[in-house]
Amino acid sequence: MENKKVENKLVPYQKQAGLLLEEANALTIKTEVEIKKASDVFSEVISAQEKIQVEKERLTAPAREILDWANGVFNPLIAKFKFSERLIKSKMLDFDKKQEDKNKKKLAKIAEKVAEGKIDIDKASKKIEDLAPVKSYAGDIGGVQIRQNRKPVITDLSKLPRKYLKPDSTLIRQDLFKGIKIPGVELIIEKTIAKKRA
Amino acid sequence: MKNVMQGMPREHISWSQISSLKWSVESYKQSYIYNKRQDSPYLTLGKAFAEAMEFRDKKVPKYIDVVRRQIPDFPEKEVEMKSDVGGIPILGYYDAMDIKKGLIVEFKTGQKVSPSWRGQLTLYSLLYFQNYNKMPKEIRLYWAKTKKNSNDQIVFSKDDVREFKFYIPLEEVLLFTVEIRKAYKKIKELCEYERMQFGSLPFDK
Repeated sequence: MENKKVENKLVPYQKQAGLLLEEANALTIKTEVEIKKASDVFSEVISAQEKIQVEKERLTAPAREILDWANGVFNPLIAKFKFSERLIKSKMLDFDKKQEDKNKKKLAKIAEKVAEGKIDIDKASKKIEDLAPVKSYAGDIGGVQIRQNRKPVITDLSKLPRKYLKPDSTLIRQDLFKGIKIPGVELIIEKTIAKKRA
Repeated sequence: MKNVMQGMPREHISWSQISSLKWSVESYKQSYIYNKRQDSPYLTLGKAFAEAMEFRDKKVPKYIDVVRRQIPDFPEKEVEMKSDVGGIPILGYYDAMDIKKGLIVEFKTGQKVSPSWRGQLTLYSLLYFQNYNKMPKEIRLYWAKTKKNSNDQIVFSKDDVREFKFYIPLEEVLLFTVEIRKAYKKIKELCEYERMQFGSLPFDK
């Protein structure tokens, strides 16, 4: 019911939006008179937008209030669970890492013996049966999977080819505004239009 | 000596069997137990390319020749390598090699780099180790990139041949032997299960 009322209230704005779009399409700006006319149309577009925004805010405020309340009540609880989740994960990964390191050492020793011809591959193969990285652990009521995400780590930035370096636009902007000259960068002025406040 | 491959689809375990099994048991069953391997345009192009690489002097269509010229020639081609792990026979074919340099070479076609290439090259390293009592000094893979053209045909991306060098430590090779034994066990169980369900299998004599 409320929705229908709101939609009905929007009908004049929909008409206005259509008309203003037609006007914007039809605009040609080659003279000062025409840019003045365009300014009027522009003002109307902005005013209509502002009115609609107010309407939207009025309508969505109660929903936001509910959301704020729900966040206040639920988020601390969720955060507690999340903390436990992270804690267990980190302890599990610690254990897994220790096991993996231990297994790697054992594997390296066996590989050394194979390379020296002290034991053959068959014997080694049986000895290392349990040394492969563990992919999952299962308890009585639940199990976990150990996922491997490939993640690049930059070990020497100075060796990194140029194509992988991204300029720090924020720092460039800050330094330029301070008047610092940066080779390869120049300051240009980009114009935008804004509604003139009365 | 007991033939451990008796009652199994092949006399050896190969990389293609292991990877097919890894991909899906159903795909393994269809390809190896029931011989329902389907040819695809990818395979056809791959085979033509492999043949062109094996017989470097053979006249081949220009679109293959353009790619072949970008890859060096190697002294030994299509080298059969056999060995066994705990009595399980394993087989592999090096696309090319240079025995003097301890170099194994593999050629690949396809649209994307595949993480499974490493598995195949690990098996090849194992074969090398067992045949020469040392690890290969170098493992190289040449990838001729393919793409679909506007007619939906698989073609080579002309100037897109890339060389990859692999370093596979003995530790990884050893771990792979466990995978081979697991694959063997799985295939054996699969064949027994299928036999129980349907009686004899196509390759049973």
